[in-house]
Amino acid sequence: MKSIIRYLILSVLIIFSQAATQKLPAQNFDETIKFADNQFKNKELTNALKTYQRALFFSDGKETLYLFQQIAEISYLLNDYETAQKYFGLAINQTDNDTLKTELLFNKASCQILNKNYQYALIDLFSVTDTTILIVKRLNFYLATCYFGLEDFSRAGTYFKSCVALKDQKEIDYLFSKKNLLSPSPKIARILSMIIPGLGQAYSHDIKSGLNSLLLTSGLIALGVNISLKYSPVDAVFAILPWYQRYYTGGFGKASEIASRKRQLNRNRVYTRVLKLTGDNSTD
Amino acid sequence: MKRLAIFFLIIIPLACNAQNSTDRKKFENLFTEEKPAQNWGDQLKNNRNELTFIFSTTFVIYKEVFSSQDIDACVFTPSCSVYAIESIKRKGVIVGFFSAVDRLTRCNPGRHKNLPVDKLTGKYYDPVE
Repeated sequence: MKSIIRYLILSVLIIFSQAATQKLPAQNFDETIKFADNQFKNKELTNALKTYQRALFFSDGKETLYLFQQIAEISYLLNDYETAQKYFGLAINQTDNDTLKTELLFNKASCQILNKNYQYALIDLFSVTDTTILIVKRLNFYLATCYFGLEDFSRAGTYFKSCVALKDQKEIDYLFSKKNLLSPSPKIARILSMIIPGLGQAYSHDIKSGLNSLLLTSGLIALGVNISLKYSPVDAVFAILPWYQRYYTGGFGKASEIASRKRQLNRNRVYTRVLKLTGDNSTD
Repeated sequence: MKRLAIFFLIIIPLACNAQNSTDRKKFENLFTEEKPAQNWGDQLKNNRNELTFIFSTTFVIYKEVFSSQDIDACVFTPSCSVYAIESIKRKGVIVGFFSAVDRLTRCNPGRHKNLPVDKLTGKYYDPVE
């Protein structure tokens, strides 16, 4: 009886599996791409990415340019710039169309810039051969951003100047002055705080932190002097020196950090203003 | 033909301007600070009782006056003082206090094999559970 039931179940399973395969054929390559396109349209980015990757795996060399582009674009939208630049690179190698190649090079450079790999971005940008005015303008903007990231401000300034209107070029000169981009210097702040604790912080316009450092270290010195007068200098050294060393070295480390943060803030302000100026110019 | 030429003369610059504006939008936050300065004043909020408030106030004074000028010596992230105040707030004064003491005894440069390393700070990641 048991064996009959087993055979029955097995035969039913075979019949149903056959029927299912006949009615629902497996998704072919074109249908997979269509399905991925729909997912992309519906903004299901992660699912679309997986489907495009599946299609690429079974593509056998078909439609690879489109698939590379789509994977790169979705990775870019998902902020995965590492993967995006890899696939933009593969797409560049696949295409013979110069306009598309230029666009892909810009996209790849953009990924490198957002990953802060400015040198690699420059390599991609130097491969752009299109010399139409609008492309050159865009290229100059990208080059300027790369040089700005590499702290080569004179070149960045020159390229930014070519992106703005004539009336705004004087403002670019002012924005790219040493005062705006190189000060406060973390090195100077560090040295100043080594000479007098708190001076470096004051130099970086953080008076509160400067006063705090000065009071803390001078308080420790006063305590050390008090202990050495009351007991002995050896006691003062053992009791106070480790604390003094901590707050003295910590103080000049902090001064350097504050200066670096302030300088970064200044640079960000300059870059934001330049973005505004280039934007104003492009809508003229 | 003339109309077509005019159409392209208008459309191409507009398309390029749109591209430039997306470029600008992408790079907007390129040079902002990666690790902004912490505002410890927020720790004064959400206290369960007066005792927790006293601990929070002491913590903020310590962070603003002493820790702000100190070397970065703690091997964990969040640091021991932040761990202490968070555990006191979450677990209550008694359990939180002993949890913080336990953390301080573990804070040494030895290897902490069972803890993951935080990528941003390069320190052992040990939050309040």
